[in-house]
Amino acid sequence: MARPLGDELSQLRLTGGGCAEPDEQSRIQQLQAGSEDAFNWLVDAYAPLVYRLAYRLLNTPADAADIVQEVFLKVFRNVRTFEGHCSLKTWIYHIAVNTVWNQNRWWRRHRQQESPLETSDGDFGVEPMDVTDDSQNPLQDALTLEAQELVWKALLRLSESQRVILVLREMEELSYEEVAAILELTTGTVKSRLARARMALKRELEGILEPVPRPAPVWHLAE
Amino acid sequence: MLHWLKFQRKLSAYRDHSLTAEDYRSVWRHLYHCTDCRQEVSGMEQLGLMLRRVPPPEVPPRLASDIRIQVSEERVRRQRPGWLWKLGNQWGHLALPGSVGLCCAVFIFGLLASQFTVPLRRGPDVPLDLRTSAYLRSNQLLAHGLAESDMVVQLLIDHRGRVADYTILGGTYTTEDVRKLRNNLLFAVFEPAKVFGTPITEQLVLVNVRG
Repeated sequence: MARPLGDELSQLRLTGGGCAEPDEQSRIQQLQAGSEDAFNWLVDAYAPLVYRLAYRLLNTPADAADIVQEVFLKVFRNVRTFEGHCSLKTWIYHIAVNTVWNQNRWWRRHRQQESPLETSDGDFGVEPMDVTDDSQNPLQDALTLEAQELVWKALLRLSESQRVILVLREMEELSYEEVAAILELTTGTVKSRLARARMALKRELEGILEPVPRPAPVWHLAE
Repeated sequence: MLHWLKFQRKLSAYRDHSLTAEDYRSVWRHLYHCTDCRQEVSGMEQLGLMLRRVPPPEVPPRLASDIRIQVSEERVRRQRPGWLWKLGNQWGHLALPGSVGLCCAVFIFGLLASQFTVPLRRGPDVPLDLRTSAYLRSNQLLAHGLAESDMVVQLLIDHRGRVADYTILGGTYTTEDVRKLRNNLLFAVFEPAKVFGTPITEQLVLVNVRG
């Protein structure tokens, strides 16, 4: 599924996902002219978004930061070839998703023999609860937090393709057309995959919430 | 199963408000009557809501500056001159003397080349002549000890290049000279005569065998 980005970006013609708006067009022209200010604007505007996306796909802060740097290097190198057939955000997200997939593929190939010293199972990407929070109902907050953790845990159990489509549609709240442009799929395929991903997420959640069967307690009469 | 999957896809699209008007109405009518499907859509909405409510991760404070550092390094790398420019810069001052020297060397070689001649040597190739006669490979041994004699000898050279027979046709010589000649002929090696490259036996006349 993942493809090397080397020469691909120069020939990339994403359709759908909306063309660049006039204001964005001028930014793109400045970027293509090599303006440092324009690139600083790009970093300020999109680095948090790309980090959020990479983190949600990888669930590792350090790797997400590396991916973001790699993505912006690719953007810097290839922005001259960007033709504006899609929005800048769609283009950058496309690069980010491909970079994450390439990274995952590399890891699968090279790190199969390695065993990590620490796992990220305990980190569900949810901020620790703020004890100084002045919300009205701490119990409700705790329940919500727990539910979010469970959903996050279920999301991480999904396959790469299902997770990416759910993250793009549900968490990043992109339109079908944008998702289709980022993943280079048709809108119909996006709809099908999204429906399957939602079912898979529901199944995973049901699996997590299913009570673990335990042996029945044995009662002894006190003498 | 296929219908169920198709319907799930429609429900998913209904939830995202991305159905056509006709499909939307048909799904809405179905949901009005079907409690299970209503719950399915409601479950999807809840899942979506929970996914959206997952708080975004905290962006590392150094992320933007790290990106800028990487990009500025890339910018410097891009502005750095290429190897061709470096090569020209480092060796450019030697270009004129080097090319003049090279031209002189070629000119001198051209002048001297005509002076050299390659000696003709009989190679191992099979001669394409119709017939080649036998010849002595080296006359050093044959003339050994016969410096004072003067004789004409007819030799019969076989196909292996050995002397098969000899006849002294004339000349001034002694018995000792004949003995030396016989000894020398025993070790003399000839190239046999050939017809179309095939060795044959041939008679050869050696005139004035003298050291």
